[in-house]
Amino acid sequence: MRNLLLNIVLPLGAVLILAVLGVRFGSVEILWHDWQNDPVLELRLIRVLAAWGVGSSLALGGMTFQAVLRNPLAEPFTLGVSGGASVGAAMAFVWGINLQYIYAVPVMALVFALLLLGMVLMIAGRKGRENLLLSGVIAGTAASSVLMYLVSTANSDELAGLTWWMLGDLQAVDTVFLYPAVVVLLGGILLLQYCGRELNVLALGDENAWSLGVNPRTSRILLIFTGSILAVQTVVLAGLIAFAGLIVPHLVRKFYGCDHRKIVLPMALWGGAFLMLCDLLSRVIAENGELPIGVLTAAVGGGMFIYVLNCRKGGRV
Amino acid sequence: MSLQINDLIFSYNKRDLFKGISDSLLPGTVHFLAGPNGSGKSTLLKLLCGCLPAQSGSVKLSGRDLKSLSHTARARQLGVVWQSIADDLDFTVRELVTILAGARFTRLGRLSNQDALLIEEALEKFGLGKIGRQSFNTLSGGERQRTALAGAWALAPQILLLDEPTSALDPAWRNRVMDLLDDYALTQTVLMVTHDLELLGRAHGRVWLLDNAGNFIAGNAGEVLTEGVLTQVYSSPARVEITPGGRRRIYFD
Repeated sequence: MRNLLLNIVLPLGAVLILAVLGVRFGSVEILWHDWQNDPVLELRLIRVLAAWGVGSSLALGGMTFQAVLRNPLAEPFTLGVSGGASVGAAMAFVWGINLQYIYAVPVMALVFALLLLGMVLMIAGRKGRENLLLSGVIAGTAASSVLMYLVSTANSDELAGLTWWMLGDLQAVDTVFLYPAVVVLLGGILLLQYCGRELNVLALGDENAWSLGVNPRTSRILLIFTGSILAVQTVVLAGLIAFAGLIVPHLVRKFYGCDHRKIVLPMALWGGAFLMLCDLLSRVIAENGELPIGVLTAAVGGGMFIYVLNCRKGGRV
Repeated sequence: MSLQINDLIFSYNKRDLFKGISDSLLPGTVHFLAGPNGSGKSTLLKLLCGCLPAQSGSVKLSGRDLKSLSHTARARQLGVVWQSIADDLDFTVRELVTILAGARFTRLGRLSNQDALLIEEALEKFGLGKIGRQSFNTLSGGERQRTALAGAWALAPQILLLDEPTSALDPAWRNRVMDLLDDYALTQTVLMVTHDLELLGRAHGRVWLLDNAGNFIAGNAGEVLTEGVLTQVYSSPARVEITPGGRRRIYFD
């Protein structure tokens, strides 16, 4: 009973309250007497759903990478997955492939994300945590240089679109991608809940994983693929949102423990709630217009990253 | 349940580690695997549990090929206590013991009261009752080993392999753990890797010795734990004395 309250009721309550607040506040007042015909209301609802979906996907992606790669600092952004996805998406955008085939954006984002992640894992080898993060940073830098190149060749119309990709923003979420993404997210939640045992034992090292009944190689590939898809869809929806996949898993583990059989649902709910809160703040803080949400998470997450990195040296996450 | 190896062949980096080794282990007493550093003890454990594939030969659990079992069935029957557990994530001791015994629980859903009781019993047995909520990566080496052992005890596999499970334990805990293992070995098959000559001196089951030249010597304790064999295996002059209690005292000059 206490578990149900803590694991589902409390975070679900937070999500619902933030959803109401998210719809209520913004630069324009909603005309409640004529709400059925108010386009702002519909936009706000979509935006709130997008914030939940993106935050949830990022948190679950981060949680998965951290367990599978045995690195508490791994997350879509630090591993270069987000960077790769943004390059793929930007290419589809700048070269106009998305005009002929709308799903070119997510497909190219996924291909480039996996390509870059594969390179990062290969370069890092098995030589430990710092190596992985360094490789991720190198890959992220390489990705952003390609992104810069695309920016330099883009015309002014394309430039506006590219810029929000690089900043991370929930303003222009396309429902063509949003609804499938929510379905993918729900599938991801189910799969990760089912794979709680795999996530747990992979975090103990390959020999332990094997003797506890999990083939580390196949499970790792499946889970990395799942984490990547979750990360890629956030980039397609909202661009680069840094560190959300680091902050939320860290906090959830602090309060709920590490057992992945128990934390997948709270992670999905709190991850969404976190980004809904950031989104709300980004609209309230800036008086005229709004702050790109990626700017906000990067500022908070940067501090958190340093904190976790230093804590680890003392032996604790 | 018995553990048999038939004609296992394994080479690594062009070096023949195992050139067709065979033996079989039965319940009754703890069996030992010993040998100098780098002789391949841990590699042999990996071959025994299927973690590394042998180039040829087979491992059988009561006549059934290890490879024919599902991963979960294998994990349920053949447990391994490795030398270390990665501590990158912040599991508590209780969480970790539950995970280590996880193959006997259902994949989804909560632990039954009976299962939860089993975990508590395992924690108590290995002196971890008071630190169950503490995080594993704050523990000392000995407490970590006891956590791993508690997990294996809760899993209760028919075959248990242990890689130097007592190396960080104080003498009192080492003896207590050995008593528990001796009891456990009465009904289940237990093989333990050790460098501890005092423990090796207690052996009265099968003893497997590996040397750095790729030789595998298997025999009953009385046949293998002799000055001649030990001197050859460790390339250092060994002395063996029989104590009045019937144990062997092994030392190297």
